Amino acid sequence: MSAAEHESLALVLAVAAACAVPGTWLVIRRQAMTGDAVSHVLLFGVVVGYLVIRDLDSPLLQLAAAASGLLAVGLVELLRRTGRVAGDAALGLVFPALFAGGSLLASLYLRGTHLDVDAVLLGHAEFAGLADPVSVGGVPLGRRPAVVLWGLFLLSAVLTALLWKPLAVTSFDPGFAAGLGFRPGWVQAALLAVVSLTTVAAFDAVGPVLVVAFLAVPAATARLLSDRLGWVLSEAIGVGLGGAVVGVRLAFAAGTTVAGAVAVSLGGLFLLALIFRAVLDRVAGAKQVRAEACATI
Amino acid sequence: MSEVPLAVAFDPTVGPVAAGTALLGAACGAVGAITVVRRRALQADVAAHAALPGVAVGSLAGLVGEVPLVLAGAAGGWLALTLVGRLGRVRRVGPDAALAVVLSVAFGLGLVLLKCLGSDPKLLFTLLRGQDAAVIRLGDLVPLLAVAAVVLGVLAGGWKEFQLFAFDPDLSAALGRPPHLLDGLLTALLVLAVAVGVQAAGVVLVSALVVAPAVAARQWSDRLSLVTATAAGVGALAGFGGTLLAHQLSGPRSGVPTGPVVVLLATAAALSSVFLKPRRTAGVA
Repeated sequence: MSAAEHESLALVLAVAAACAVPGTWLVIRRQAMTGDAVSHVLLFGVVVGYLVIRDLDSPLLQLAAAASGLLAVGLVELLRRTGRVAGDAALGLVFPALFAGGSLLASLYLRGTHLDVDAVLLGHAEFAGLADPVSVGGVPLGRRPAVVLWGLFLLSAVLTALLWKPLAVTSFDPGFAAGLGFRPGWVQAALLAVVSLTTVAAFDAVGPVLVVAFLAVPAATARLLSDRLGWVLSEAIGVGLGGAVVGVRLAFAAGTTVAGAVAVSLGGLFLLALIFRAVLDRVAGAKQVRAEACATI
Repeated sequence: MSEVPLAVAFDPTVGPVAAGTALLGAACGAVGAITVVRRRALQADVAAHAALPGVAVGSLAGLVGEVPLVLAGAAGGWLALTLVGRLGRVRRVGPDAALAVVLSVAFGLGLVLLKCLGSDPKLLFTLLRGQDAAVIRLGDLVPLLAVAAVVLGVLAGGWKEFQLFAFDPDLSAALGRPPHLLDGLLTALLVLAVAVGVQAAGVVLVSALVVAPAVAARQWSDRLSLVTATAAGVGALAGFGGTLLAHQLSGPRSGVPTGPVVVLLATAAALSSVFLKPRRTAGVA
């Protein structure tokens, strides 16, 4: 394993772990496509933020981008509430528009800078080794983007633990949850804020389109394997990490894009889980038929 | 748009290209109207992302030229939508996760294949961002226009059946119309329109070309035929105006891609229709 491969694996593992937790909540709440929308919109936030701040490493840039994610979701909600645009059309209207705005601004003002549109679109986990290393008290932690992502993973894990009940209740029955005194709106906003922050941090590595693979595919795979939320969450993290390992190896063996290869590997794991579930259901079905047959005899 | 001197439209290279892009926009807009009414707005996005692996496999199989590659992209979109339909019916997956999974994995696969092939970087660039206004020539567009014309022709030819099927699939089936054939045809029209639209806007943005004109048009009428015609008109105007504007914005050395400009114009039409038009009678779409 070359040094470059080692570096990108470290980064992609961090992306996978950080995306798996909020991604699972999105999938459970049937909002995976909202995650897709948020990730597209961040291009706009990043570009506008960069035009104002002019510093790619500023944490303000991350906040600006995350804010744009929330803004876009708010805009979708506003369109929906006019009663004139159906939910899916509102989503399909807002996010390409902001993406278009971001890429137009980038092609007008940012030609040849760090924010090259194609790099932004595709991610460049291949160059993970170019980032600055971070160390705390002399102990090296890793490259900066990976450290930030592991921090976000911890944040979403802690938030999940703290907000377990509101998250779970509002996911399955928002009306009932509101009746119990939970605030579905606030829970939703908190979740989207974490999704936005994670997506911005993952931006450099995998680009806005493939972030969705990291958000949705591990969770959808885990959902095929288990019913209990706790299991689904931990399996999603496992699937994400597994897909990262396989994908990075594949990318360096075949000389192709890391982000794309990881998306394909995650797709492969999803397919395996689908087959596993089909077999499991068939076995369970056969058992049930046999049991019923015995009962009638 | 008042700062755009109209003279650009008569420029022998820009004018025809803008007119061609207008036809692509019209095809996407017309197909979009029926797609949005059927609540399939996000399927356009999946079809667009899945055009990428379609084109990659096509060029791996030795296809060259505009039309074969567009058809390969459409085939990719078709496969992806079939997969979305089947996965969406699996209880543990559901429609939302099915869309997100298929879209992202297909896009990743497309990137991997295109990079593996060591394909022409210009092909990847065009697929991702649409043609560059500064370099596109009418000759590149003509074959695409033929596909767009076929899409519009089939939509117009089967209009009555499509309309009935979109609103009341049960009645349509009860009258003896084959539901699978109609659904298949509408899906085929969608993936074809998206695959040609990719040339104008790129895979990430083309879904807006399908959705935005339809949302705009839907505000002004409750009749599907009128909505469809208006959407085609809005798509055409956005394609035409967007190409001129992108050309206007392009510097001597730095081209501005047409896609974002076309999409922003179409979205502006949709948003102004939603917020400015007085209350419409009934229904959402």
